[in-house]
Order: sequence, then C-alpha cells, then structure tokens
Amino acid sequence: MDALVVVLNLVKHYAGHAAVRGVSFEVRGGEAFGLLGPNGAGKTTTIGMLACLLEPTSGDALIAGASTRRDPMAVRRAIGVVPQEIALYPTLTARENLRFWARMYEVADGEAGRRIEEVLDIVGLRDRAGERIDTYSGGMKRRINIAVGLLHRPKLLMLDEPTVGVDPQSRTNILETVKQLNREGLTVLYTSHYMEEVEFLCDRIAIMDLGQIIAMGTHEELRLQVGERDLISIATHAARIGTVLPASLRALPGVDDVRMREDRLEVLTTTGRRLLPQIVTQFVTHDVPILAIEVREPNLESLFLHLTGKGLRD
Amino acid sequence: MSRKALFIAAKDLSIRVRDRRAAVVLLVMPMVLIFILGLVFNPLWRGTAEIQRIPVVVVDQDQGEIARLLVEQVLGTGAIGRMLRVDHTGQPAAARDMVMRGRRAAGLVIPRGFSQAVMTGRPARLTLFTDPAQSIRAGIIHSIVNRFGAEVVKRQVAITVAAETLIIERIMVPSRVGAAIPGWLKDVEQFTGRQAVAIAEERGSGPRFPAAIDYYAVGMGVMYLLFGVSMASQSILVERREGTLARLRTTPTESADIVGGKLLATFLTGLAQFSLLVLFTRIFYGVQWGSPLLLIMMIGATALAAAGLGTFLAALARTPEVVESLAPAIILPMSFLGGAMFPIYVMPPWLEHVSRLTFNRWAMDGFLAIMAGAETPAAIWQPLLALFAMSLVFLTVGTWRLRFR
Ligand SMILES: Nc1ncnc2c1ncn2[C@@H]1O[C@H](COP(=O)(O)OP(=O)(O)O)[C@@H](O)[C@H]1O
Ligand SMILES: [Mg+2]
Repeated sequence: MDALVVVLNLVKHYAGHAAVRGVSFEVRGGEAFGLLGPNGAGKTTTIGMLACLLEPTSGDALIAGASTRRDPMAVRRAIGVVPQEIALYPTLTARENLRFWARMYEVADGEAGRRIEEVLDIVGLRDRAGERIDTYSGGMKRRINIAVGLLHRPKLLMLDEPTVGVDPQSRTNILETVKQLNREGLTVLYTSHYMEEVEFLCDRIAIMDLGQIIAMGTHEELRLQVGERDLISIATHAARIGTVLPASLRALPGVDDVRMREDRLEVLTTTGRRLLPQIVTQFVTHDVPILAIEVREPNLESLFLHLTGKGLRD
Repeated sequence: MSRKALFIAAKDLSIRVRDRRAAVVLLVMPMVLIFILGLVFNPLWRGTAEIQRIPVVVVDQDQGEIARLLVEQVLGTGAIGRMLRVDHTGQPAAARDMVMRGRRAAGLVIPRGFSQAVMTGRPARLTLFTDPAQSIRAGIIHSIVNRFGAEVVKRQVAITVAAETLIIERIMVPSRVGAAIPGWLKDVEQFTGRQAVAIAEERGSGPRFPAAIDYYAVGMGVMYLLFGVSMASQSILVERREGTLARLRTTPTESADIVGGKLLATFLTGLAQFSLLVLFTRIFYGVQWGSPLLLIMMIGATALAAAGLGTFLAALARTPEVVESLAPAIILPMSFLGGAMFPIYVMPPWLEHVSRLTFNRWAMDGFLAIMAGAETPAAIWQPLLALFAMSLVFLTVGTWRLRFR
C-alpha cells in the first residue's frame, strides 16, 4: 500500500511541556484518516507540524515523498490546510479571498478563475461569493475556509476541526462535502473531538490523548479493542417467543448470547448489524413477529472511556 | 521583490481602502487639528513674532566702533533687526558649533582689530558660518553681511580721502584725525542711514516663513503619518491573531515575501496618506508646499522611515492591542519633542538639541525647508540622509524580529 503521509515519531515541546510526544501513523492515498481526541490532545500541534507551520522538536513526516523538515515548499504545494480558525479576510468578499489565496497557492492566472468557481460550487456558495465574509454566517465562513484549501487541487486535504461552532445543518453539509471529496479520490486527514464525525467520514482513525496515539485502526478494529459487544434488541410479543427461536439464534455464528427482556429479545454479538438478515430470517422461520429492531454498537466514545477512564468531551 | 509580495501588498491595500474608521482617523483628524492649531497659533506667526526670526550668533572680538555699527545699527535695527534674533558668544569655536548643530542659521565672527583696519583703510576680514540645512536663511545673513562689506568700502574710501585731505592740507594732525573718525562715521551713518533699510527691501519678500497653518500642516502631517503606519503595520499582528498569517505559511510562500509584502503595503499606505494630506491642505487651506520634485523625495523618504518605525513597533508587540496602546505613548512625546506642536523656532537650545533625536524633527526640517523655498536636493540632504539612516536601522531590526517569530 502506498502511503501518502508517513509520520515518524513526531515530538513537540513547548517550553518544556510536551504537546505531542512521539506520534507515528501513515495515511494511504485516497484514504480518509481521522485524528480523534479531546481538546488539548495535540491534534492541532500535529497538523501544524505536518503543515510545516511548527518545527518539530524531533521526528519528521513525509508527505507525497517530501520531508516537512528538508523540503517544506514541496510539502506545502502538496497539501491543502483548513485551519481550526476561520483564516480569511473578513472585509474582502469570498471571491476576493479565494483570488488572493489562489495566488498564494500559485494557481496559474488563467486557471484561477475556473478553479475559484469550481471550489465555490463544491461548497455551494457560488451565488453569495460576491459578498463580504463578515456578512456570512459561521457555517458559510467555514465552507469558504474549506474552499481555500481546495484551490490548488492538493493531494492531501488536512482539516482541523472544521465544524466547530457551526449549526447542525452546516455541519452536515460540511461533512457531506468532505465525504464526497474523499469519494472522488482526495486523501483526507481530519481532526475532531466529535466521534460521530470521524466515524462517519474516516476509513481509519487514530485516537489521541495527552500528545499520544492511544489506539489506531479501522472502526471495526477499534471496536474490537473495547471488548464490548453490540446489542441487537428486537421488540416482539413475549408470549410468542418460545424456546426454539432463542436456541437457533444462539446457534448463529458470531452470536455470544441471547437474553429475554420482557417484550424484547436481546442478541449480544461481535459482528454487529451484519447479523441482522440472519436474525430476521430466524424470526420469520419461527413465525415470531418483529415490532421494532434497535442496534446499539459500542462507539469510540466508549472506547475512549475504556482506554483513558474519561470522556471525550469534559 | 517577487510577484507574491506584490499580491500581498495589493491585498493589504484593498483591505485598508475599505477601512472607514482608519480613513477618518488618518485623514480627517489631522485636517481638523491643522485647522484648529493654525487658527489658534496664527498670531504667534504674524509680523515680528520671535519664532520667525533668523537666529544669528555674533562673536565680537573687536569691540570697536565699526563692529558696534555692524551689530547694533545693521543687524539690530530696522527691518533687518526685526528679521533676526541676534545673540552673542565669546568664542568663534562655540559659534561655529552652534551653527553646525543647526541651532543658529549663521554665526558671524568680527575679529580683533577689525574696526582699526577699516578705519585705517587696511583690508579687513569677517568670518561667517552658515548652516547648509537652513540655506535660505543663511543666505539672507550672507547677503546682509556682504552688503555691509560694500557699504564699509564706500565709507572707507570716503573717510580715507577726507582724512588724507585733512592731513595733507594740515588742517588736522593725524592723531586728532584718528580720534575724530568715529564721530565722522556717525555722521556718515546718519546720512546714509536709510541704506540699512534699503538692504532689507532689496531682498524683496525676504524669507518666506510658513504661516501657522502651513507649519501645522507639516507637524500634524508627520505625526499622523506615524499613526498611519503604526496602524498599517499592526495588520501583521492582526493576521497572526486571526490565523491568516499561519495559513499564509502553509502555502508555498517564502517568509521574505510575506514580510516584504506587508512592509510594502505599510510604505504605500504612508505614501498615500501623506500625499493626500498635502493635496487636501493645498486645496482647503491653501498651504504652499514648495517644489513638487523635492516634496516627492521627502514624502518618499519620510514614508519609508515611518514604515520602518511602524514595523519596529509591530515587532516589539505581541498583539495589535499592544501596538494600539503603545503607539500613542511613543508617537505623541516624540512628535511634541520634534516640533509638531511647539514650534521648532521657539525651542530653547537644549530642547532644540533633543528634538534632533526624533523622527519628526528631521521630517519637519525637510518639509519646512522645501516650504521656505528650497529648490535643489542639496538643500534637504541632511533630513534625507537622517531619514534613510532611520529606515535602515528600524527596518533591519524590525524585519529581523518579525521573521524570528
Ligand atoms: N503555542 C503553544 N505554547 C504552549 N503550549 C501550547 C501551544 N499550543 C498548544 N499548546 C499546548 O499543547 C497541547 C496540545 O494542544 P493542541 O495541539 O492545540 O490540542 P488539540 O488541537 O488537540 O486541542 C495543549 O496542552 C496546549 O495547551
Ligand atoms: Mg485543536
């Protein structure tokens, strides 16, 4: 597998205090990689070192084959960075901002106009692009903030908590936009302290706390680390359950246990919702009605709790 | 300077052009202040006001009749007397020093035996020190002394002829002739007394001193230029706080281009601000700024030094707010010392001396010299040099500090 980003034991100290203490990971081309961690975990510091903004205390990172230490200009050409804050000029219009940043990203003059309209389309703000940024809502500013990072068609897009402080609708919009970009082949490095976001977006996730990666892998792999199982709860008529259905459910591969709870049957499993068709088939076979199905999977929140003994958000 | 620096400067300027508050502070405020100060202090500038007088220091080692004539009758009375402020010192070296430090426009040394030489018809010699930075005013002194020289020669010829006649005809003995000469001179002087006035009137308009409003157009212009550039150079701190500076550094842009672009924008802001003030004061207050070519040179040098000072301020501070509160604390005292309020002409010598340490003083000296009629760059070389030196120092230190943060 060809890695677009190789992070090699990055360390960053601030006046003796370690903000990042030895972070290593790889992001493959086309992948969406998530850095999940609470405030102060070191996500922004890590992104800062990858974006050649901060000099690492030790360690290095290679992006598209270029070292952030030895060839920062090559790295900068390969990446689009969407910073945590809205780094735009509020008294300029969206289009003027994009024009300026296109020049900073060295987009050719002839191409810039077309690229600007393209990224405005991507974030869906083309019809408001002539207005000043300071007249925009928080969500719209965030979207232009993202658009800037796309101007030069980067190989890697790094987004640092791009949904902080936006309304739910804009948040969904932003997540969908990033997901779509990733589907179209853009490699994404996404940080957040919202587990739903990285779960929704990312193929692989690294969980950070106190400057270190404490767990890393696909959603599935991480879930297995928790040791907790999924709970599939099927509401039905208690009188119709009998004993045959629970026994045959228990016999399904991947099912650990089956419990009766008043008007519900609870199936404990490690394979999650993939088991649903077989469970439904068993109910149909034994002619037991299904009134409702609920799947509860242990999430990254519970994993984080499991690993650190504290919540993602304090 | 690369294209990117130009783009950054252009972006800064287009942001600044939209800043109404800044426009009011940087253009309307000085216009109002120039008007008020010009109005309030105008009487000070009128007629024989002390501040208009040309400071001249005289060393009278002669103490003779002719020397007294020169000092009291020529330099001390009539139209010339009203134009000058004469004081005395004992040592030629001290007088020279005062002139070279720019504290007097000219220094006149009347050597021992001067009167004697004049009265006995021997060649006599006067020494005149002049300040090149005040070339117009020094030129006036020069022509007065020259004129006096010519008058002396006339009298010398007249008296020599008279004395020789009296002695040859044996009407008077030489020793009595010697004693009588001062009396004759007085008579001659009374006879030709109007000549002294004629000298001044021959100079035509004489020195053109700026009116109060002209003076304050320069003073406030320079002071507000400093406010302008401090506001402009603040923008790099605003960009640091808002995160756009960090974003710039994630793009393939050299930090030299970033600093260079910001600096260029600051310089151009100062240039535009001062040029507009020159234009406005010309249109609304009829201020005569003088030679356009020299004015352009001075505005350029002043804006550059101011940009350096602004950059230096920004480099000292961590946040825009710090600059905002630091700027007046530096700019106001420096401006007052430099003559923005209290005219340079009336400063006591020690203050006048101190004022040369300020940016404002050098800038004002240059603009005032142009107003007074300077026509060649040679007349403003000192202010230009001082301003370029300041630019160099402040820009070097300022950009060095900015780049290391
Ligand atoms: N410039 C700085 N100086 C000192 N400490 C810093 C600085 N930036 C971040 N830190 C510290 O480093 C740690 C990690 O911060 P950060 O990377 O911003 O975390 P996150 O983005 O995950 O919230 C925090 O403890 C923070 O206080
Ligand atoms: Mg952060």
